[in-house]
Order: sequence, then C-alpha cells, then structure tokens
Amino acid sequence: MKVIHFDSRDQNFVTVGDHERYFLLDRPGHAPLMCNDTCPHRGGPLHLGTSDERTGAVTCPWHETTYTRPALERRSPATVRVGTRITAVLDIPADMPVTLDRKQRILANECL
Amino acid sequence: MKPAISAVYRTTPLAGSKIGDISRNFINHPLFAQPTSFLCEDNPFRRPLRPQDLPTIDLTRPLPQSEFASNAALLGQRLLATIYETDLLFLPTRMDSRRREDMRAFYDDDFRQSGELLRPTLERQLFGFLEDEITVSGNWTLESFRAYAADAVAQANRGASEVVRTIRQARDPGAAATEFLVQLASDFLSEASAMARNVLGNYGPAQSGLFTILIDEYGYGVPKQKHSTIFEATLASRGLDNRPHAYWQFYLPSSLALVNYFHFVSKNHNHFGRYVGALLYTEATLAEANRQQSDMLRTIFGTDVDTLYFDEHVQIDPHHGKMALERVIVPLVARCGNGLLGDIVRGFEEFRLLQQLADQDLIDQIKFADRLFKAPDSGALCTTQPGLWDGPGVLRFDEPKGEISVPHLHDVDEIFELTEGEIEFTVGPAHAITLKAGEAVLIPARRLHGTKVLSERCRYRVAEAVGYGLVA
Repeated sequence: MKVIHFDSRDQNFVTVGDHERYFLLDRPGHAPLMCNDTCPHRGGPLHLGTSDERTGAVTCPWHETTYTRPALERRSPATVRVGTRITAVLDIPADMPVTLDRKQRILANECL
Repeated sequence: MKPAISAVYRTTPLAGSKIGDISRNFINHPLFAQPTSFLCEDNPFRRPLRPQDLPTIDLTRPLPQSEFASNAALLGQRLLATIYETDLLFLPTRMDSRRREDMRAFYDDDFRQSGELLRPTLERQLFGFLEDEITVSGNWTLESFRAYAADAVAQANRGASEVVRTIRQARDPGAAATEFLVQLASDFLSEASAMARNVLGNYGPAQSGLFTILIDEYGYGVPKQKHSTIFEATLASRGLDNRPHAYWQFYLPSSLALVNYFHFVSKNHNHFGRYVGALLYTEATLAEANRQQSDMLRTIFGTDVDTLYFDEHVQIDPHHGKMALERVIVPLVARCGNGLLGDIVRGFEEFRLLQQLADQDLIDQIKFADRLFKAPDSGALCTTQPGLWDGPGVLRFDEPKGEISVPHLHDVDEIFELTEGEIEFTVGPAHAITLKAGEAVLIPARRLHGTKVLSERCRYRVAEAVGYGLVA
C-alpha cells in the first residue's frame, strides 16, 4: 500500500507505471474521488468522458459505457479530502514510484 | 452531518422560531448568570456566559471554519458543554445550601429537556463546517485504512509541537505554561467521560476492547491512578485550583470544541464510527505530544511541577493506540463491514483538524497574553488617533466596583480605553494588568479577555480599531 498526498489546486492526475492512471473526479454535490481513469470495457480514458452532475455517473468517450457512482467508487482507491489536501491509498508497493501531474482539462469535471 | 434516513423514518426538525424561544429561555437560566469572580470556585454547576450576546447570534447558522474561534462559537460551545455535562455527575468538594440548589437546577428535568432540544441545533452550528471541509470516497478496506492511519500518525508525531515552542519562547514561559494547563483542565478533569457513553449496550468484542481502555483511563478503580486525579495533582503542584471548571470562564472556544466533539460523536450513537476514528487519532498521537509537554513543564518549572499525568500517557497511549485499532476498530469493521471505514476516517480527520485549529487558537492566545505587559503603551495611540472616538460605533460603559465582564471575544480588533477609575484587564488566570484612567489596551480580534472594576466607579470606552494599522 502506498499513501500519496497532494493539493488539488496543484495536481489532479496520478500515473503508476505504464498503464495505471487516476484522475481527481470533482463534481458539485459529490465527494472528490481519485477515479480510476481506465475504462474496464476497452481501456478508454474516463477523464475525457462526460459526467452526470446529479448522479455522479461517468460515461466513457470511446463506447459511451456509463459507470454509476458506486461502481466508480469500487474501482477507486481510498481517498480523503481535507480542504484542498487530498490523501489517497494506492494498492501498490510502498516503494513503487508514482507521478503526480496537473491536466489542464478534466472533461469529466466540466458541466454538460 | 446527519446519517441518511429514508423519508418514512424522518422526523420534522424544530422550526427556527421554536429554537429562538427555547434558546432565550435556556440562556436566561440563573446558572448562566453574572458572576462575582472570574473563578467558579468549587461550583461546577455555575456556568457564566454572556446572555446579552444571544440577540446578535443566530444559533441556526452553521459557522464556517473561519469562525471556529468566534464569539458566536464561544457562546455555542459554552452552552453545548453545559448540555452534555448534565449527563455527568459532578459533586462539589463541599456541599452547602447554595451549591445543593444549583445542583438541583443543573440536573433539573426541565432544564435538561430544553438543553436536549437545543443540542442538535448547536451541534450543527459548531461542527457543521466539518461536513464541508472533509470528504471521504473510494474503496476503503481494512488494509488501506491501516496504511492510511500509520502514515497519518507518523506525520502527526514528526517534529516539535508549535504550542510547546510558543510556550518555551514566551517572555514569561511559566505564565504561558499555566495558561496551557488551564485550557487542559476543560477536558482532563472529567477525562474519558465521553468514552464512557460508548461502553454500554451490546455490540460484540469491540465493546470489551473499548472497556479495557476506559479501565485504564479510570485507574482500575484506584482513585490515585485515575487520570483526572493525576491531572488534579499537576494543577495542585502549580498552585492552581483543581476543582472541575474553576476556570470555566477562561476556556477558549477551541478548548471546549475538543471536549464537545467527543461528546457530540458519543451522545448520538449514529456517530460511533466517527467516535472510534477520533479515538484512534488522539490515542495514537497523544504520547508524543505529552512527551514534549512533560519535558517543557520540567524545563520551565524544574521540580516544582508534577508531570505524572503526561508521563503516564507517554507510557500508556501507545498501547491505547494499538488497542483502539486492533481491539475496537478491527472487530467493529468485521461486524459492520467496510462501509463503516468511511465514518472512521471522517472521525479521524475531523479530530485531527479540530486539534490543529485548537493549537493555533491557543498559540494566538498565549502570544496575546505574553505581550499584555505592553498594553498601557496603547494609551499613546489614542492621542495620536483622535478620530478613534468619533462616530456611532464607539461604546461607552459606566460600571460600579466589582462588576465583571465575563471573558469573551470580538470578531474585529478593538481598542479599549479607561477614562475614569481602575480596572483589572485579564486574558487568563496568569495574565492580568491593572489599567488606570488614560491607559488603553488593544484587543486583537478573537482574543479572549474580561474585566473587573477595582475602583468605586469606572468609565471606559471601546472602539473598533480596524483600519488604523494598530498592532497589539
């Protein structure tokens, strides 16, 4: 298990190794979630998808598969936000390096 | 703040107008009335506050984090502490007719009923901001929780305490350390009372785990080993009054918040997950804090202080941290499922945040108290700023000998000038100065202070000092 910390004003994207990615899904009315970016269907980038502000569901941009908020929560690492400080627990060895970035746009966080 | 309840089970909350009626009736109770001394000597039932502040405060408005240490928060925390503590038994060391009458009033069913009606409103007012500040999401498992808690505790136990550093660096470290002990008295003299709320009922092995921690807190039934008794000895070693709530009027809103939070998440058992999360945080981090505090007290006071309270926690709290995790949280999660971990994380983070806010409030108060000796210099500022005393915002007071202004705080910087007589201006039991006519003091926003008239008659005036660039 690896615990990471970052400020949501500075970073919103985490990469582990070559394929594992997480983005900060942050919509009004829903707790910010370190959402697994990889669509379980064919690997599409969920951060480029759309989200339903009311239900919190996210739709993949590739094949328009929709994931409910509980389904997203089950695939996402344990996360807690205090103010703008985010702490997440990734299910990887503690010494595995991760990269924290800031994506200019997380489309899934934008209003439809 | 409230756990989700399906519509069919929901109870209609009391209307705001009802809350207004109940709070006015409650706050005007004689137990909250004007005192004759800053000390509530051997009378834990007398809880002076400032009923006159109520009309300016909307108890139904949740205070944002930025108002955590405001005057509205102080009034609310004083009321809430009183309401919670009517569930606890306090007995004065000496009972007389007045104390007996006060005791009857404190535990009177009608008084308690009014308090119970107000309690949820006050809890929302004072702790509602935690809901906005903290969110928990994702897939929590016991394994991820263990990693998260270990990381958070290691962070908390790293480095020197800012409170300890502030006290050590004070102009008068002894006086600063005394104020620190006084704030701790709000909690430690009835230590673990909130915990005791959680050991009744029937909820499996975790109940026994919590009970073993409670037994330690209560000294295995041996009065001298009880943690509150050990802290009484600490206070006595410094010549401080060690009877419960002798220093009630000097408690900061943040000190009361720490005590009240544990009652808040223990009084209503819908919050039991939050309670055990907060318990884990405090038990797992207190040993290091107490080690630094014990060292500080011995450095400042030498052998003239009893530090057993702090040394005992250095020894026992690492055990309590492990017990809270392995013997309380693990069996609770086994019984309730991983869904409970969200509440446990919330409680852990809520108490961590409250502790950080309380530390800052105490640091600010100690710094204010420590430079109080410069206060009469502020009188010169009044002559260089003649415009201070113009305008409708200036308040003028004319008070008789012995009149007390119960310690309170303002939400903006103020200047206080004595124009006639003598007054004691105090910001804590170890920090008071006498002001004479023509002398003034700058009171920074949200710094606790009170006054007592020393002369036959006393006149003073108070003005907002915002915009004058005055530094207290």
